[in-house]
Amino acid sequence: MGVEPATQVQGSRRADVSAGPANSRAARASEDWVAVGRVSRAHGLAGVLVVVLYGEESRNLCASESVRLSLGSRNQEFSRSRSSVAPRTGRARVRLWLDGIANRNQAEAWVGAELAIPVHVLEPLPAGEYYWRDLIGLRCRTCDGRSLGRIDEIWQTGSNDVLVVRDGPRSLLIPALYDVIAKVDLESGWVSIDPPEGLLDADADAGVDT
Amino acid sequence: MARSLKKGPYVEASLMRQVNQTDGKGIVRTWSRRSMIIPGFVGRTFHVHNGKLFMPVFVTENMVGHRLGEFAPTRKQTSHAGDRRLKQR
Repeated sequence: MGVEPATQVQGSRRADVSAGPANSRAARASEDWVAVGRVSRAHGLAGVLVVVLYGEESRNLCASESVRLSLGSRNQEFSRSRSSVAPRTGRARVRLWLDGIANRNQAEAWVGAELAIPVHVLEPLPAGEYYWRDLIGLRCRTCDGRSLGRIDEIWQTGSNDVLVVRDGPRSLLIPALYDVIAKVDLESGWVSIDPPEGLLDADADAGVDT
Repeated sequence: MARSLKKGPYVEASLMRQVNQTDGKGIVRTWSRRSMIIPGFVGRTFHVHNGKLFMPVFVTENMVGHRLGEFAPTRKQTSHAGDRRLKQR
């Protein structure tokens, strides 16, 4: 544990999008840490942090023995003693005990900090599941080779997730369905889709993001 | 007060007409967010207007009885990617 020089923990998503696919992949490969949440407040007197996670659950955080807190120019790695009870799996808001933060004053000094875990801790996903961070920035094309743009965002709806593919001012909304997404090639940075009849037409008419 | 059972579920007439015309193929585009999802819609993809864009909504069995608009959010929720995962359906 020690104070490290201020470094860019995670590449900007916008920067990745504007860069070429090779550059964005290189930038992504150099990221050793992935931000998973933000410290919202201190809890109690013993230096416990309350962390709001970006994802729905805390399985990856539970598996991580070390975390990194970043606040402004301060970056510091902490280890988590495995004997601590929290965080519990399945929660989106967790209490976090870190070795080296022993009282409330030390905990309050990190309120607002971003919490990151090592990338290698992320659990491998089954077929048909992908981390958002892997998909955002990939190029999208139809099965016949027509380029549609780059995946800029992912929206969650009550039903299927939606990939927002942008090419200039035009936005295409692609549902994340087995019938539509034909192939995801993370290595070469392409997502091939097989659009059903009317998918691209409807977006062309009404998908202009102003 | 719940809708009378005598009337059956509310589905916009124009939407029902489009669904019958396309006959299971292609995407149905609708502004009718208030229409109820009926069993005949299962397996179809609808483009539901959210006030700005048409959101693609794939209808599954457990969505029956809900309204189409429930699955096309009108507000944009921005969030960090973090360790979020996308699951194809």
